[in-house]
Amino acid sequence: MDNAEREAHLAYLQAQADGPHDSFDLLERSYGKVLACAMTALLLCALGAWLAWLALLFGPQASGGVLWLLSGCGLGLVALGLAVLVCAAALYRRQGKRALSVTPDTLCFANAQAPTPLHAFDGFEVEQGYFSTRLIFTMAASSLAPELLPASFKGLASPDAITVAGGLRVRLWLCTPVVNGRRLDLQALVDLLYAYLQAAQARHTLAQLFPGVARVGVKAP
Amino acid sequence: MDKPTDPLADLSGSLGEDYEQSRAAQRDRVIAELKQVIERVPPQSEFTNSRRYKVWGPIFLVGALILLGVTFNLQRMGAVAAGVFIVCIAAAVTWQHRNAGTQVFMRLTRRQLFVDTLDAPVDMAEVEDIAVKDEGLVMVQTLEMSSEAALPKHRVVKLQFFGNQAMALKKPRPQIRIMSAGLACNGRKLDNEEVLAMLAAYRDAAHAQRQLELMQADG
Repeated sequence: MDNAEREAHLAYLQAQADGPHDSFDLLERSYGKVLACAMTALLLCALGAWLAWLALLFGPQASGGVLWLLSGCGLGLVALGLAVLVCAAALYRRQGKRALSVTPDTLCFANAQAPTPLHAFDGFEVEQGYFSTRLIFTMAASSLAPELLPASFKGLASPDAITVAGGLRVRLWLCTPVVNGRRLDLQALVDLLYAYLQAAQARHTLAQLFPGVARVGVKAP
Repeated sequence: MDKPTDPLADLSGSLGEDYEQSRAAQRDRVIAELKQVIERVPPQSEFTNSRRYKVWGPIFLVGALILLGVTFNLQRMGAVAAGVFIVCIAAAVTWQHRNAGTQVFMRLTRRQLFVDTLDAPVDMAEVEDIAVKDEGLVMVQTLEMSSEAALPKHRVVKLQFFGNQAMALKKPRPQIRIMSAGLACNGRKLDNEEVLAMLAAYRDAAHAQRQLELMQADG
């Protein structure tokens, strides 16, 4: 590396280090899914109840086998509907909860006890599934995964994160990410998080290169 | 009386010393970081396939037998032949997976990947991109290799249903594909994401190992 290259690298780091200054909370909006789940549940329950009612109606004439089949299917559908209804209730409790709170230097998961410095992550991925958006953060080798409380009810009732593969990654899923009352699409979410992560990484690298400067920047108590 | 020392020469000497010291300190720090990346993964991990067909094979077999029994009718030999065919396949799957989850077919070290059906180890530092896919039948791990990597040759496993199979493909891009009925490590089943995280961590370790050797060779 010659001097010009070094200076170019330094200038790049300085430009990157000047990232966003304000913090934000990534909230969760789940009413759409609650509605879909509740409708499905009611439909299943109604279908099940109708089948059971048919069994009662045909009770006198029909043979035993048909009765068993009808009432079995009906009660099974009602049970399934109730399970989906429980899911809808859990999703309803998820609405408006904080999934991530990001400051220029830290990131805090919903079920973490303390914020994690952003430079502890060396990257993140966003995966768009059929029903949810998944955020996967990769931990840098020099840092440990944050201490997380166990996710409640498979993370349905609140947007909890879980550690994957013994702390190599941290994953959470979201229905609809909302920041400052505005919903974010996939690209906006990536851009937003990337700006914070990139700036924090650049500042961390600069602080490692020039420990003195980083100390000067710290405000006197 | 000796002549006065040149203050500028003195200054540049001490600056040079400072520079050397900070250079050495940075070098040590980089080496420490590389070692952290390497030591994040165990020196060796062994993988077997999961027991999914050991569980589902017999269920499938019983289902096929019931189907055969229900449709058995000597007037309609076509249906009977189809039933017998399904029973044979179910029996073969059950038999072939009777030892599922016990035989190690894939090993990862901090430098290389060993697979039974590849004739040479794969250098993990040559891996550029990793993808893992599992849609219920077989798990496919795709390792995209750099274009100058030397690909090993694969041995085709014949007449194995959902067996462990590795392929080294030159087109469209040089890549290694490893197919298996799920993946387990130390008897614990791994999901896609865990496999991806482990492969990525081993790839990073291989890169770090290579970097470390380069730095140590420089002196």
